Amino acid sequence: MDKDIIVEHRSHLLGHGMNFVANIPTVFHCHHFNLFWDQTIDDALGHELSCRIRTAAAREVFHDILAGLVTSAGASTPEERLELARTVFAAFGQGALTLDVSAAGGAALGRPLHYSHTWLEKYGGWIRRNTPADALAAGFAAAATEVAFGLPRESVQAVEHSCVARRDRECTFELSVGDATSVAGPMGRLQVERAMTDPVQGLLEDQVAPIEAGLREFSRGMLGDDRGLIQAFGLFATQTPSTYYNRSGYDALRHVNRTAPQSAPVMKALLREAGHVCVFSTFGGVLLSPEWEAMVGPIRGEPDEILAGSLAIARALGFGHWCAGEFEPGQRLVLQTPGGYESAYYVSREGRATEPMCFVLQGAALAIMQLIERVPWAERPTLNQEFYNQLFRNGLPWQAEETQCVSRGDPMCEVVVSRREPGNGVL
Amino acid sequence: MSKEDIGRIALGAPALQQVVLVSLPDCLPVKQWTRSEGRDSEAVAAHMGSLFGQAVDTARASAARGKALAVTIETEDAVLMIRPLGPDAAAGFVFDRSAPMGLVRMQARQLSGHLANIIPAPRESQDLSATPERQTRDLAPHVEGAAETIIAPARPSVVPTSTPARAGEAPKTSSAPRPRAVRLLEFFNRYAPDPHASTLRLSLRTGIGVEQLANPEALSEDQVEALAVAVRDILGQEQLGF
Repeated sequence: MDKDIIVEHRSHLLGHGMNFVANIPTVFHCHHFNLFWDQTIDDALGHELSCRIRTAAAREVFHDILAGLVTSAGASTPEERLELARTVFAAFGQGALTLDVSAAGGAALGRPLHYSHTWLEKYGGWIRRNTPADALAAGFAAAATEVAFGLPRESVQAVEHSCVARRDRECTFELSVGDATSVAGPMGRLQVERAMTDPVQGLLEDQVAPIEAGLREFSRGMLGDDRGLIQAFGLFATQTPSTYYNRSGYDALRHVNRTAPQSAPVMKALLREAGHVCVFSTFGGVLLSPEWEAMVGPIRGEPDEILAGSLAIARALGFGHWCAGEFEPGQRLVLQTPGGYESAYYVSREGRATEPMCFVLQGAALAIMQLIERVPWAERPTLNQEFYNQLFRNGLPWQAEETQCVSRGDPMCEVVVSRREPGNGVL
Repeated sequence: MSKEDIGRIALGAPALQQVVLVSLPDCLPVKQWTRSEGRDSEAVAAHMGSLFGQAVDTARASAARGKALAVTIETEDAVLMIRPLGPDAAAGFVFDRSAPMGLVRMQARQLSGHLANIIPAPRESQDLSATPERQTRDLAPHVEGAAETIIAPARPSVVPTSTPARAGEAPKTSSAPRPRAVRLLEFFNRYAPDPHASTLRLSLRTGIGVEQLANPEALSEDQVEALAVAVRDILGQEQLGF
């Protein structure tokens, strides 16, 4: 099975910056974001519940993707379907997964897997991990088993028993078949289109649009390597169904609101931080990459250039059609979008929000301002963890407020970034 | 053991430029000696423990067999050799590059043996007014083969209660016991991944407000216990010795 099947089934909603595979919304994220997101859910719920929720989120959405691909590829036998699943997993940059399963369950083995591999690389040098890291792979293995053998959606359970992040030799999973659990409603292209508002126009559009088109073409061909990993721009990237992030994040937040409401602002701040580390690392890495230089030219570090580049990257990677409503270097940035992957999910699944709910967008807007104002581009710094810690250990000089949100019924999502006022805390 | 003790031991090794003793796994300098001023033992100590652990892990992952006895780094003008002194301490020796490697190995091994023998005896209970050097406990009387217990798992059995000493200074001591929550947070902040978000993570895990965490001495007993569990889990420690 060729990984090009993914390229064939990738599509884009023009004017809204949304990406799909087999009509399921997906987004490219880096390992910094992926690890921080899962870690925040763990912090909020404890590992056991967090792992259950994240596994269920992955199982649900990968079932939809695999079911769609199996149909269009004409994969009819379990063997063909499992081979297709293995190919999809690797093409998404999630790693190499071997499935030894039947209609009664079985086992899966992963090596390497994106989450455990990158956790060990990023943190393994100085802290230890006692819990497995690959809930997404567990959910994927469950979904692949369901689709391969025509089992009901959300009927296979998967548990990771050993994990490379815990310094085991490999990641192993046990799969068992049980009763189908509650089946969530569809979350595909149709739901995304319904949730989007009218496209918005922003500043610098003549700079943004051509870069966006070039990057979109480039990202269409981004696939996992022989290891099943996407290593580029100084980081590891994945193409991940956005429902994985949304369902796990909003389910966890709902749980926190119910059981420990005083901690909800803290969790939101950490979800924002996930968006911040993502955009700072990924977008910054892209801007400093040889691929960028080949496509756009060497980076000079001018504010308009960094802003236009960031907006184009966001659109191409599937974050949304981000526009600059206002921009005053050193003072203020207003980021606007006719919805993004967060609001599309929230509107479709959660109903009308009473407050802004796009936490990744909020952190991302903040990070764009940091990229513009605080990175010495001329020195071509390495945007690694050490550099990040050095810049942000003592807090951020900027603050972000989501002033409009499609999830709340507003005509667009809008985040205003301004200088942090004295006395304003991290929450 | 004083700085002079180390100096006397180093007398017979003219190529030796610096010795740094660190507690493990927190990598704080317990004692240091330099032949000349200007070397920062704290910076050396901060990297030594994790470097040793990583090197041993790498050896394990490779075809290397047996227990790790030393880690060696060669630069253009120096050779750094790190050797375990037991489960809770290690020594780093910086030699002049001109010294033959065989001599470096032999002298580092001999010096390790001397240091392991003169480091204070194990302490069963924690004395909060103790200096870091007194808190390294359970030190093996022999060096060979001790590495295994140092790195698997990294387990802080004691935690320093004083500010790490700067190069050339004696370790500072505190006269009064400090609250456990303060020591927990100090320990956590030294090792926390994503340090810019570490307080938020503790808050979310424990339900203790960010403002309350800014005043750890005022936390209740239950809150301190929750804090200890969170610190242990985030850092992947099986147990904390305080």
